[in-house]
Amino acid sequence: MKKVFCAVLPLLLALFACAGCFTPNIIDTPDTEYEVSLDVDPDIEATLRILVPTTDGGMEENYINALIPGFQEMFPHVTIEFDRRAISDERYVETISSVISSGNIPDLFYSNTVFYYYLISQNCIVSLEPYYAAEQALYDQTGGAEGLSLETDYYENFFDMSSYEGRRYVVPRSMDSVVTYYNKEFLQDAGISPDDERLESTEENPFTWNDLLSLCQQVSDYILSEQGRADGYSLAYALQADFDWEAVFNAIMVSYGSQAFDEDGNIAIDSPETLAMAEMLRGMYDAGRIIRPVTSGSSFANGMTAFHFSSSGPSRMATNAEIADDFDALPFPLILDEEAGLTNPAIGCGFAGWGISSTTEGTQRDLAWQFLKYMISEEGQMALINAGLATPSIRIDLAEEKQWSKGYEHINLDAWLQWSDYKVSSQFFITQDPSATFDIYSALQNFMNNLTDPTSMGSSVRSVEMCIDIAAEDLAAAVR
Amino acid sequence: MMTRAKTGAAAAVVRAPRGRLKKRLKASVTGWLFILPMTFGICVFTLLPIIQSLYYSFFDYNLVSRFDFVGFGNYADIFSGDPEMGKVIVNTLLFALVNIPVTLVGSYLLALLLNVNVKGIKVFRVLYYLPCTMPAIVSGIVWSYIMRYNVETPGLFNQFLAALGLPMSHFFYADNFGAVASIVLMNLWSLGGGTIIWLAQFKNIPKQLYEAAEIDGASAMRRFFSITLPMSTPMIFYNLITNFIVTLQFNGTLTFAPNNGLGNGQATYMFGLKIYHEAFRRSNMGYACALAWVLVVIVGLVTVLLFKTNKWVQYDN
Repeated sequence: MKKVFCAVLPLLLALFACAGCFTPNIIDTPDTEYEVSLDVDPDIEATLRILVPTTDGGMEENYINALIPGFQEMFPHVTIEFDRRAISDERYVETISSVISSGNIPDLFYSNTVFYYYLISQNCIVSLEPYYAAEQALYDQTGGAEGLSLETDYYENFFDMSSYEGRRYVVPRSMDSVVTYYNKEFLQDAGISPDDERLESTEENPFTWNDLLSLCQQVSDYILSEQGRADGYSLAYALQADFDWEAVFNAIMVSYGSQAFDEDGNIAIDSPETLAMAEMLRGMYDAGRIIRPVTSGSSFANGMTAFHFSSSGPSRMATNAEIADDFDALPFPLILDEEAGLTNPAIGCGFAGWGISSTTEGTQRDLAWQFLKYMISEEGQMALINAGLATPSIRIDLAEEKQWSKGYEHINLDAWLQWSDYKVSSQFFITQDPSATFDIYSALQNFMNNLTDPTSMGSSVRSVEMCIDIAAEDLAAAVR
Repeated sequence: MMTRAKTGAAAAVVRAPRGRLKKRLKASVTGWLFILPMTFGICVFTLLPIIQSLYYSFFDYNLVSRFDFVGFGNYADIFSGDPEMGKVIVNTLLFALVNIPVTLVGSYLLALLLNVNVKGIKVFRVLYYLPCTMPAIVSGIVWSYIMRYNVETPGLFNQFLAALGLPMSHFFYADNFGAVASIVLMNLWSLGGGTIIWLAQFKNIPKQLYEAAEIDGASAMRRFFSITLPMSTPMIFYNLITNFIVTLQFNGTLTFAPNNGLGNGQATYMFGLKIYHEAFRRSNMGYACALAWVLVVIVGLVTVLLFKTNKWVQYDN
């Protein structure tokens, strides 16, 4: 026994020392101010590695592929490599940490409205302010012939969405804004004319949440009627809202003045504003066949919902055979009711894009910037549009010309562009430690599911007060 | 000459063991070569990560950008600073208290049934083992539908309860102990895995013992309590220890329980899931490693305790 102990102890100590040698690969805090060069040698020989998600059916990789020919005309000796990873809300931390641990870190990180905060806090991506500043200076010097001016040519607020402590980190590839699709045939069957003034969205007569509720109630009554059943709508619902999608629930919460946390980071979900919002949502559930449960299937329910919140472009929506030629769009309904004190409407929006890795330095970083710059150039944006990116371009000129939805001019494409002042991105996690982001997100998703689908797979019938209490507990657990 | 002769003899005495060692090494070199890949694999993929996890447990390590030495800080947090630990420990202990006896007794009784010599028994053995071949992710999805709680589209169990006029149950969507009880119920699905070990043990019991008992007129019940059960005790002991370890490490709720495996009201939040959650959802790898080592110590202590109290195990034939 003594001999075994004497043999094992040094072995363990040796292994412990070896383990010490394997100090993990970690990223240091990057400089926020660094030297940039916008003059990259066109003959540079390099490889750019780009992180792309595999969980979107290859969509983002397809967009990058569309950019490669044009970029390689500028830099013929640059090769693009993909770092394909499973990226989802649940597994983002796991994915990024395995990327970093491997030591084989891509030059460009894929990000979106929720992920960017984690990437910044973990030092994964650098502030792009030095590039924006250099591009603006060049733009001013050359009278707009060269360089970039976000203020002049782009929807700058989408660039601002990846801000942290006043610095921007991600270049968005397009505008993602939630709109309200509606199924024209279904509405007509329910006795709602296309000229119904509730389906208007103008400065004088905006499309409001109350309009939506009134329309949904009419559709719900029709679904539950003999005629509705006879017409084959017995399994239909009025609205597919996806209330557990942050772009939707965040806009509703902001409109009601409801917050997950206050400015000091304290849990603030237990408020009269949240209660008012919760009662409104539960009222929708109680009113009959209005809210389609989250667990039952495909987008727009194959024509079995009358309204659908989505950020997809019309060409993507048209792939749904059941509604292919029979849909139109309105902006996200404005939650605007002065009598109820609701005067701060919000429309959910977000971004998907790429940030430059903090481990990519010098000329390689400048080259990575050139790729991002090409992505948001007119030529790059057209390449993305031709590759099927059917959401509005991040460039004002292309967006307003409706280049992004050729062939769908009969649809109200202004739905994506209207009320730009009301557009908000998700920031509900920003006062907390980044490691809590996804747990906070989960807590709010559960909250919305409990409110809007109280008999779903994951919950029993609960009062709105119980839902708020559970949300407060879940948020406390998330930020413990 | 005497001196030289003495020296030569002494040298021969000293050299003899060396020669034997060399001879033994030469003889066993083939064996060493055979086990070399396995030894290498165990060292690199098992032993080193184990030591590495011990090393990381003394650091505040977030997998990406932070690796700061905190001494026993992570261990202190487990026992004093983590408000989730109470819930996690209670859930894990409740699960262990119910799951271990149920699966042990269940698989033992099933093995007794499958040990009977009747026509077609081999088909039954295969049928009972088949669920174990199903990947955990698949069975998790299947069970989440079987136990679904939804007024409009209830799962299979709730349809059955409704047909009997009974109220629907939340199963593992409950926010109380019912969720853990449902997991135990779900685990009965794979009892067939344990029965294989029991059956192997039953085959090792000498037939002469049963023949002698039959000649003496012992009833089937008497034969079970006096022969089968005592002769199975080594395997009962082995299964008890392995079941205990597997139960404490259980994180299968990830694949089916709501709230990313934590369950409603954290009803299915157990130790194994806590380790995963800290490591890969909250990126607290250092803390997760400390939790894993606490689990190792707990398992070690309980195993020692079980060995100290194993007088009921009959190792002799």
